[in-house]
Amino acid sequence: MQRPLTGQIALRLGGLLLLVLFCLVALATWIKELANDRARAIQLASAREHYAVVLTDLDRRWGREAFNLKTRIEAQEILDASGQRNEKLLTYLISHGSSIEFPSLRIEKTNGEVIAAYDYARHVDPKVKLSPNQLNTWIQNADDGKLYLVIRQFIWLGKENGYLVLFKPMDHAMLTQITYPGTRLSLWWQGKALASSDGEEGLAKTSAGFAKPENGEQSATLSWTGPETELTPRLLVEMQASDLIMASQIARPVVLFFFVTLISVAIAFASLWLRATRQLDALLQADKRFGALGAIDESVAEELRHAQTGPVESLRQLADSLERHMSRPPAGSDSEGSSYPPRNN
Amino acid sequence: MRFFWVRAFVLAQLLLISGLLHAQPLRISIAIPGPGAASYFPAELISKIGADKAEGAEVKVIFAPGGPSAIDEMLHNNTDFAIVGLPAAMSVHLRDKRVVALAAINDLPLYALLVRQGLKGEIKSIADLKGRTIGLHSNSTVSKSTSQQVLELLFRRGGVPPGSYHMVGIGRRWESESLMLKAGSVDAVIGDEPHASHLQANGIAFPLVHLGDPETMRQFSGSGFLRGALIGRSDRIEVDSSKAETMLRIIKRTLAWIATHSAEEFADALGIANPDERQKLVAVLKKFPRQYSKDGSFSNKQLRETEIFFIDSQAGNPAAEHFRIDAMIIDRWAGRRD
Repeated sequence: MQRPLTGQIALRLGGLLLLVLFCLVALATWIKELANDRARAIQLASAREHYAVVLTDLDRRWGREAFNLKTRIEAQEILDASGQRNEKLLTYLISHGSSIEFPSLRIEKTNGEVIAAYDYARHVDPKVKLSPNQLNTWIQNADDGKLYLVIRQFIWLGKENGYLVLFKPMDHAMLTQITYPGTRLSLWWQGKALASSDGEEGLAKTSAGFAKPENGEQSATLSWTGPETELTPRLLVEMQASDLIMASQIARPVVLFFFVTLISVAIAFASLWLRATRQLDALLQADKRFGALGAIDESVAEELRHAQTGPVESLRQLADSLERHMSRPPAGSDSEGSSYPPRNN
Repeated sequence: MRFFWVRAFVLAQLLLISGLLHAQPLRISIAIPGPGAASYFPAELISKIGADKAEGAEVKVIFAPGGPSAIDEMLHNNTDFAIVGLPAAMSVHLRDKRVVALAAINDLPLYALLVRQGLKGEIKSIADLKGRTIGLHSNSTVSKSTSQQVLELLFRRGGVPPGSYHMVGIGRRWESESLMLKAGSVDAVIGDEPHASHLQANGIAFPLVHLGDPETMRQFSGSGFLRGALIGRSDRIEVDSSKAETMLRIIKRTLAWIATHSAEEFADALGIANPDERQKLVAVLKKFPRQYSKDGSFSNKQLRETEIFFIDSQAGNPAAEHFRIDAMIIDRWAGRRD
């Protein structure tokens, strides 16, 4: 069964609008993904650049502080006399506010004998092995599981050189202090994450999400400054910032655009379409009534006038032609006003 | 068919039990000033009496030189909670609103102002300490530790205004406190128990003021402040309060244990091997039996007293003068009493 014209037009128009809607959604999704990917890539590149500078700055700061600390201790000559070195060192460090950067330190003879030690809060004593000319290393303390940067330098003991060994804990706090919102940092050493800027919870999440530190769409890795060896820790930067454009944000203009299109189509075509169907309908009604009466009455004339003023040119012409045809006397009749015989519809 | 359901039930029970057995304990970390400070012994006791395991958790304690440093450990994600003097936490709260108090731990401030033995006869009152060097646990120009607040209040009441004496942060390790006094690098220290009793017993220092003394408490209004409180972070609690709830249950369990055990059992549980140290600790615990809270609940009276102490010790600080303690108390788990 063939659909009526109105149904066909409504179906096609509906289909067209659905297609427009689909295209709009696809376009919006594509733009959203493109913008978010681009923003993420820029953020990740900025983070990588930022943290590379931060790591270099940290190394410089710690190196300067290590040297200043050694200079201060040497200037006091508290290690020159062999007696009560430990007490003198502790008194000096406590009185002078100690070092916030290096909460633990040891003074050793070159043969490794510890002659003085100081701990700001917790006693730290990891087993450190350094070759004679080695200045620093990384070590995991078995007691607290923390990774320590160990800096060693010569210090004058009065008659001979010794070593000042400084311990810098690479803990959650250190990473928390250098991170910024939208990034999570974790420090990896020998294949394991040991500290996170989000504390223990962050460490658990990172360990579950990464088997090893790697570059990805949302992560970047940086090696700690200095010559890279198997002991060099790696900093994993994870982007935590939310997307630049959210689905709800892009959905609003899509819906708005679709409804503007819908209303425009309705305003532009619906009125024309209704008037055209009304014009066609008037023709049909006029023809039906004329067929039933066999003559033009007021109603037929009204329908024909309606059809003659409608928007479709061909229908107007058809209405004129039909009126002329209806006004003509039927064949075989010689008097005006006679009518056609009624049709049996 | 009947056997099938019985077997299925038994299997389900076994799976449930094995799941529980293999469940990872909830890891909780606390920063406390120490080690060896009587005020914070409840934290050290937790794992020793198994209060954490009973709640399916594993509590790790790390030590800091003072209250603000312990709070720093918490704010910088090294720990989940801190136990510090409430006045120290209030001082940090003035700048960081995330710092909140969750439970009362230690009801009695046992601070003592101790003068080095060499000054016996020369220093008879606080006024005699003008121009001298005083050691305290930690100090900062930004956040004041409880010991610093106690010191400033005692000195002001004693007629020694701020700026007329020197302060040195000496930490709270026994070695550093005793060494600084013995070396004469400090003339007095503001310390707490049991180090105060140890310093006195070893002839290193003599007490000038002891806040545990009822007469002193009467003289210094506000000195009955809440000494040790469990401190948390409001931003973490808003996201997930389960850790705080578990910690509160552990604290209540520990405090209940302390309330029902003798001083000797307390010292044994802490595992103090040195007989002399054990004896001194037992003496301190017996001398100040109402040192620890019984259930962790906040006392309205004590909170008011803490507020008075804080405002008084921070005279001249407008932010402190307008501070109201209720802004940082979360009592939904610990509860409140008069």
